[in-house]
Amino acid sequence: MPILTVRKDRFWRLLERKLDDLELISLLHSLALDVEEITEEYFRVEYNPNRPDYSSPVGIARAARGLLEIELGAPRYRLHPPKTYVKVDPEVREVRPYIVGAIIRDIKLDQEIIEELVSMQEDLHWIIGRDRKKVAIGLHNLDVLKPPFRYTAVKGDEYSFIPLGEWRRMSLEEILLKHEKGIKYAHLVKGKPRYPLLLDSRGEVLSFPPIINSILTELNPDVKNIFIDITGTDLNALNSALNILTTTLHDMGGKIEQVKIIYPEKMYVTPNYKVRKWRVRIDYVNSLIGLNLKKTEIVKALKKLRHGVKVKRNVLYVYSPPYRVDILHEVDFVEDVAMGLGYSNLEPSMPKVITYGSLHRSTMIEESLREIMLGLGFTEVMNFMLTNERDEYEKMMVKPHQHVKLMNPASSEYTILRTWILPSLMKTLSNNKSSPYPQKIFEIGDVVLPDQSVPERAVRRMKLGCASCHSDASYSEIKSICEEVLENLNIDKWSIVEYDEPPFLEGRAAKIMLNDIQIGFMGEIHPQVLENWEIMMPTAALELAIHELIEKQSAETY
Amino acid sequence: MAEKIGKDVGSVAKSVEWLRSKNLVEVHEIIKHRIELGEEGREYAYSKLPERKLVDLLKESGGSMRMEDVNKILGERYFQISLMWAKKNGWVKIEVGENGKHIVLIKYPEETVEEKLLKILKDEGYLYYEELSDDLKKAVENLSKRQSVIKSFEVRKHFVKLTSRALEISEEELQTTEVTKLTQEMLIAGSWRKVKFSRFDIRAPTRPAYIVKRHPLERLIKLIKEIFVEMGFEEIRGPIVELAFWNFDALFQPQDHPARDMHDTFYLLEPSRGVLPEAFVENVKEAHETGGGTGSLGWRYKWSREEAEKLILRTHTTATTIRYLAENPNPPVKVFSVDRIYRNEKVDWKHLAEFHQIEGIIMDRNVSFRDLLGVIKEFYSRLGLKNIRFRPSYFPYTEPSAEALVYLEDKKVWLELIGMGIFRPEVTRPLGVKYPVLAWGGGLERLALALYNLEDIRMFYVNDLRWIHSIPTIYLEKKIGLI
Repeated sequence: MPILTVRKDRFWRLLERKLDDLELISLLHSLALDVEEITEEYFRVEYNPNRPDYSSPVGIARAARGLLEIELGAPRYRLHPPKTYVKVDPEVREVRPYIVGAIIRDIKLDQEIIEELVSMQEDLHWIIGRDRKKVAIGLHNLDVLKPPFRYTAVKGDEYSFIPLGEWRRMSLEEILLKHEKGIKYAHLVKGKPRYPLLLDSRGEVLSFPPIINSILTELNPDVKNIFIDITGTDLNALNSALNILTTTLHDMGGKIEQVKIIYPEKMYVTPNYKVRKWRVRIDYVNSLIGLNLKKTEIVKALKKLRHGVKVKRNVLYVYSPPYRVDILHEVDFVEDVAMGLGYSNLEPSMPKVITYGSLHRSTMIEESLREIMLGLGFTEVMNFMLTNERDEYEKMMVKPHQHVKLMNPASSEYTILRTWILPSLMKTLSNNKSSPYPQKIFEIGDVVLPDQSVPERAVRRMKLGCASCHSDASYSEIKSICEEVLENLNIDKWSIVEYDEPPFLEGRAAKIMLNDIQIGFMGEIHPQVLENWEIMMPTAALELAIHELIEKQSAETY
Repeated sequence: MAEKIGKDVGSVAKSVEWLRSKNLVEVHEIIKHRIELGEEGREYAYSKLPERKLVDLLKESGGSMRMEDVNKILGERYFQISLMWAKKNGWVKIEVGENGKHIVLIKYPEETVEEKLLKILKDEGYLYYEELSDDLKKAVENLSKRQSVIKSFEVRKHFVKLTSRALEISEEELQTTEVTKLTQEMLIAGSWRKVKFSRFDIRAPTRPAYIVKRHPLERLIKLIKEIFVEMGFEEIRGPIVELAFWNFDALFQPQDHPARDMHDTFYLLEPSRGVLPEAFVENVKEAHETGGGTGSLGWRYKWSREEAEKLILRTHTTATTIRYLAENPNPPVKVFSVDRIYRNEKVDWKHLAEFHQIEGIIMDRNVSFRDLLGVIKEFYSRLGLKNIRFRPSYFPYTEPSAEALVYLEDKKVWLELIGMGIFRPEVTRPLGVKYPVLAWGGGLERLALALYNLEDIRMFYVNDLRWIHSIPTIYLEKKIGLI
């Protein structure tokens, strides 16, 4: 989640109030911010991605002023009508179809504000832009440009300019190959016949979106007027980013001037702060929070969250400010009412309904198995279901089973899901070479098996595995255990047949059968397998398919 | 004594020790040095000392002999040593003549005291130094200077003597046998009546007993499940391999949401696609695209079936609860699960790729956000975490959302443990659920780390048997104040 650093003195100026650390922490928590660090000079907060308007100190202060009741209701933003335009060429449709823009006039920049804007831009690229895929933002020094602008798409060798971070002219193709940002974001335009380009009326390049801006338009503390361009693939997202940026620049002291965007077939003006009127029912708010608030209390809470509210009978009409791009539903205002009241002021209550609890059948089966195994003197262990083919098959000297295979594991340790329990037990014994012997362990756990008959194409199956590892471990010991376990599971009519396969020693292992279905196996582990796991102690082991033994009688498949 | 009693020395020693502790005998210890022939000593005892060989040879040859000839006759081994000792004793001297060096006999010695000692040792086998005459003692000292002629051992002798109390003790007391072990035979024969059982040293160290245990994490899982059941929740389970549809789409997570990224979620290569639950597909698609009939704006993008068909390892058990709700849309519903979930993370001391989530939901006609706070407060206070705080938070599928922090008394810190909220209408309406659904979830291992006072989360899956054994059986119950 994104993190923002805010200087305290800057925050006090924006807030027009000073707080001590306890008040500050409590305020930030009430705004749904997680406090990472707090020092004499600054604080660091983590904010949730639904609130990209928290990407600047201005945005946080704006919300804080509401909660502290320094300023209630929706902030007013005046939009100045457009004086210029961006003409959009049809060629961009194939590569990056949308653009929105705005002009900010009479802004006073300094190094601190420029840094805030850069960091905000980066966060918006991530949160709204999905790393520039959906949205890419450019802030330009308007004073060196000559509007109107043209948003077009050109061939890679057609244009060249000096990109930020370079000292020489580079063609678009060259930027993609050699420039740091070009290399990083080339995948967003690669393979397209033409690349997007933003030009002014003299043909000066502003930017090669979504890759890099021209050095020409770089912001510096002397810049008075800013041109913002935002390009991308999702017009909603573009407007969200533009609203957040322009309202923030407004709150920094700038005047917002709209820009006309002219397509061959249509025209619109941005930014457009035409706000949606939301209908919020008082009884809906009350029933969801579990309170009996009066109309005025709800209105007050909403105003503290910086919403504009009009009241008509038992319905509130709420106008949320243009930067609140997270509002999707009436329910979003319910949370804001709760935040306006303060979560700590909500008295916990209990549901009235009476229900009766119960454990899942599998849990009860597990519990019985646990009782049996603990009674037999085995210690319980727990392993991951994630594993790899080396542990699952190679070390056990068996051929691969049908298994579930991961597409994108972050580590080579986990590439598949386990299909049996014994390798997990071997791993545990291997981890315990320096623990005292005898070691008797068991695990009740699931394996996952591919199964075409269910929508998820795989099922989980409960298994019981146990291993006895000491100098006298033998087949007869594990056979006695198997007999005792099955007897206690109330299963008779089972039989055993020879099983001369790894991981067991030939002539010292058996398959366990119930009504002609194999329900498990047991035996002395082959010395080569023990060596593969670096276990220098004789080991006998047993694995039972609990699903086939008892679970199956349930209708449920998991 | 051992011979007379017919027992081995060890058990006699034990008995004596016991009698001594009863003040019935006194034990005197005498240390003596036992002298035996060494390896070379044995050789000399059966033939002669080397210096005796030399003087005998010289005597036979008329009192003088060429050194080279002596060397040849005695051999290299005896030559040096015999010459050294004979010279030292003043029996011979060396003179230089025309044909080289000569050894000349000064006086032929009588039998020496050393020779006498060797003879006695040869006959007797051993002697005690302390019992020897002064000259023989001197001989022992002299021979000890030579290599492996004689050996000396320290020998402890114990003499046992009855004490005055033993002499006074009554006949009856003396005749009652003291036994250490009550046997089956004694019980059958009733002979236990006639014996006296010896007192044990009750503080003597004994062999450790070994109890087997549940896995510590499993103990916590059991406790949590019990709490859920006490509070009227029914346990549910669901698939580990899950459709992206249930894990994300049904929970109103847009298809380009970062949580769906390959960096966070395990996607499957084989099998890679599942079958969508057609009954809900259209509604969910509309909720994403336009809000459908939910009153929402929706995410306003083109929803893709293919993306929803992808198979993954579930990233939260909410995938299972939402399935359950889809199948059981009528109130009341109160279900829980404590089960495994997966994140595509590099494993380190703070992160696991596979771990457990605790999750509970309540769906009913008139349940509210305050009820959710109340249920969570009750739930965690039953885990001994009585100090709890709520603050706003965000999850794509709940509104209002909150997170709960619990105060750890012993560590004096607030721990973020639980995420919660009421399912959004965009989640519930497409599934035909008409009433509020209160939901919360939290990590089991994080809670376990705090309760077991551990730092490394991997500890739970290493299965160090010494560690598992080291945790007292009632540790958790005590820790959370149940016992």
